[in-house]
Amino acid sequence: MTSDANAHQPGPSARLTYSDFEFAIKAFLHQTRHHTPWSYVEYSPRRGQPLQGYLTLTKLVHSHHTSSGAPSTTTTTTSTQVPGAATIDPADQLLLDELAEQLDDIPDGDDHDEDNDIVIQQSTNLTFDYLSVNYHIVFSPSYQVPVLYFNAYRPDGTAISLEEIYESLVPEEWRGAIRNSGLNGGISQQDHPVLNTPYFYMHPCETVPLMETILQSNSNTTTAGDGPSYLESYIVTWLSFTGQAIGVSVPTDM
Amino acid sequence: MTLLQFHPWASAVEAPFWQVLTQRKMDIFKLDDSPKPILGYYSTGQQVRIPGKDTSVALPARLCLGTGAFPDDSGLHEHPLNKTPAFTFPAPGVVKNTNTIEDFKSIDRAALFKMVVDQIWDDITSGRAALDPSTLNRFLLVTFADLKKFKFFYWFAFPALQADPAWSMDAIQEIGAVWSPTIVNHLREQVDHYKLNFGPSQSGFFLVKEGQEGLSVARLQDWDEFYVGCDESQVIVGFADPSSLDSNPGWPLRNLLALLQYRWKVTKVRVLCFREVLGKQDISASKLFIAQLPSYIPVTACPKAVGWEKNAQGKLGPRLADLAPLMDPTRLADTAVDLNLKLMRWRLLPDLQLEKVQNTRCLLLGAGTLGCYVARSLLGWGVRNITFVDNAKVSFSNPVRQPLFEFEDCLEGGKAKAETAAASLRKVYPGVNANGYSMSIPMPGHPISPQLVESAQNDIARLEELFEQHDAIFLLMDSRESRWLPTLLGARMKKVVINAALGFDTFLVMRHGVGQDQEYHASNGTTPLGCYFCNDIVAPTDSLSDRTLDQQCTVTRPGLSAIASAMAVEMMVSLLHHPEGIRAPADKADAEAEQDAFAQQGSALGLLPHQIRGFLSRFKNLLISGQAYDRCTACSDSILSAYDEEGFGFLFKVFQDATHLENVTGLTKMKEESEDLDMEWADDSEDDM
Repeated sequence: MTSDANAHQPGPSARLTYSDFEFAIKAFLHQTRHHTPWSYVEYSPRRGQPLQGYLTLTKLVHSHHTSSGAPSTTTTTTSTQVPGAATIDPADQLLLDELAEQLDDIPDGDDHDEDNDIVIQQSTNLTFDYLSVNYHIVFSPSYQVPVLYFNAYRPDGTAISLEEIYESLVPEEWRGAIRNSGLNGGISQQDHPVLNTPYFYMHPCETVPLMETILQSNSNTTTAGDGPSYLESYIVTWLSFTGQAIGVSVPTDM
Repeated sequence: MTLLQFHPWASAVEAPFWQVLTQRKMDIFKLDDSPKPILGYYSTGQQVRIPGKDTSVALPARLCLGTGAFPDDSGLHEHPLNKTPAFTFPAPGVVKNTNTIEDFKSIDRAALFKMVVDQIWDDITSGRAALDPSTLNRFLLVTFADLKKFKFFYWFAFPALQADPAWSMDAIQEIGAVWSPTIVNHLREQVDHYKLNFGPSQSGFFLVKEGQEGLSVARLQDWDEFYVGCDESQVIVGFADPSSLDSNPGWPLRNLLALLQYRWKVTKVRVLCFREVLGKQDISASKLFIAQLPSYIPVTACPKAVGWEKNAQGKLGPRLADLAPLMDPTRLADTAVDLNLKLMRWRLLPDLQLEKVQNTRCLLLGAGTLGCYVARSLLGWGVRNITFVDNAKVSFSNPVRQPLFEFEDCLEGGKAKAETAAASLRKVYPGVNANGYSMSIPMPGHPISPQLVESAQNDIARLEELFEQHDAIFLLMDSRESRWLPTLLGARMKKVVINAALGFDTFLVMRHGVGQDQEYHASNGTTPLGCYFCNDIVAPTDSLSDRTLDQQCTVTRPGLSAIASAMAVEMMVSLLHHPEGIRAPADKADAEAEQDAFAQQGSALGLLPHQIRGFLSRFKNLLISGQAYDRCTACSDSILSAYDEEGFGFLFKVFQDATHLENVTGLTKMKEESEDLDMEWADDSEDDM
């Protein structure tokens, strides 16, 4: 299958070439510009090769975990670490406490006592238990489809475990199905193809059959001469299936 | 009028910031710990939905440090990947990264804080803040990066000039209560244009004026022309508000009010807390209120300031981010190896008990061809604890057949095999807990001279200790008799024992039973499986002395060892998956079972035979089983009791003379009886003649 194959094929294909993909994500970017702040990031896949791109989105989500592992509340936790952080080494905790005591004694022109009236740190409607989730839509040359990569971080920059991903990102009704997906998809992990650090991703082996089914049923209902419009709606369609299991969706009015 | 209360910043650091800080320190800063400029960003206040519920809850006002925090080589933040994200506002800051934890502990906190405060005040008094209001957001970050452990101690300070007397506010109103939707929408468009025209440095702070055609927006520096002919009530000062609390604006307003007070002598002003839902063209969450001072008091000197970020306990102190899982190469190797194994479970075999296999502590007796290949296969399964025992040194013929050794290990007499094999494993995978012990295993029929008795005792005690500390023992030595003692110990301690032995082109891989194990088998009606010695009616004896050179070296077809070793490891893993464990009955391959190996197997991985005998000349394996022999010289009850009662004394007798085993087990008596029978025959036959 050459890169020109799609241009000459009579109908839409679930498999994409890289240029199809780039067209599709740019269309998607335009479609969502008033709804979700996706960004386009360029990178050089190999020296001397033209730049390629992928989409990124950062979302803040409520975390189910506090540092003690208890279900989160909307008030601050009682340890020295960032709420929702992983368990801290006792030696480090000792050091942190020591530092807090030590530094408290040093005068710093910091009249925080007087200022406490003016500072509202907490509120019943405020939570510190949140995660920052990065979503990336990257092209997979081997599967020839988009792949959804993601990672979630606590406010101090530390990454969370797969278990926490399930707790915080996967809607409850989906968890069983995703965990047991076995051969048919599910959450997996590998080095991000561009950033080369470990990222979770939704396994793409389900994507082609799924998209084929949809494109098939769409082509039965659309008129001829629609041309490449399937590429324009490819990402919306794909993401609405792939993303809902992992907390990113497409606005319903699109 | 109530006291104006502010919602403070909460720091939010992205992992890449720590990675770039590490890189800069190693490549550029090195030991220079002077403050370096960085760029943070923030967005207007956001809410987050509680999953499963219809409610949203406010997020704290986040000042973020991301990939673009450090300027690129030209000192700018203009690289496309370094721009602050869309819909965010810039906050310039400095980071002081100390070189040691002691430096971190002893930093002059007050001086650093004052340095930033002075700079903010200087910006205000010199007019720079009016030209670039993003400087009102100046912050300080003190860090100590432990580059060996990838741990980052950090502490933010967000200096805010204190107003004395403090500002008050009247009731806060939603923007929709003050202006019609058309006007609000028009304002939003104006602000968008404003941001586009004047860029990021102006975007967080602006002026608003109500006019005939609606609201118009201008920069702070345009104050004088913008408000010409207006009175105090027409002045509306807007700022991008990171707070999403109903009644409290965010921190940037503090320094903004200080600027307004100093520069334009403002004592009463309408404030627009500009809050936009990211990317949705919705500013309905914005708020308006009037801020007021009781009177105008000229500020001549730099006011006091506050703003060290409290830790999660609400106390003043630093925080710690542990990024080892993301940055430490050893941890990354862990993750990758783990993931590879998990893929087996996710994709193919959901019943795989990876943790059980990984946590099985394996003792390898013998670090030769079998030992090396077994260790490598165990590593492939993710086994974390591997111990070698071997008394030899690496010799020149070893490296080609024993994949844990290299040429250099042979030089100068050769390194100790056990320790070298362990070191080699660690090079392959640093996360493994590999150890090696150079020691000899005493053998039946190899008498111990009096001066070596004590050291033999120590070796045996050591061996017993190693048995206790491990779950699975692999017998991988090159002689029959050296397997005797470990077989006894394995049966006694009911350990998993996997035995592999090589002929020239044949091999045996078997799992030992646990001796007669009467209790278990009586109640289950099953028969116990045998050990390596159960088929012998003679004691294992000295097979090594008085042999020619070619008989002493175990010469085998080179591929055989890899095959046998791999089978040994897979047999162990299969055993671990069998619910009966070491007492699992023997599976045999018969015609029916051949059709569907998973049909009647007890292990998730398939058949679990007792013995595999391989014939490389025919590329054929046979699955065989053997029962435990009640006169076995290694695992029978009489032997185990003798060991229990006499301990080393019994063992010593065996080492001095192997026939002692035949006596204890009753084999001697049995042979005498059968010889008697023979003699009787002989007598009879003579008579008949």
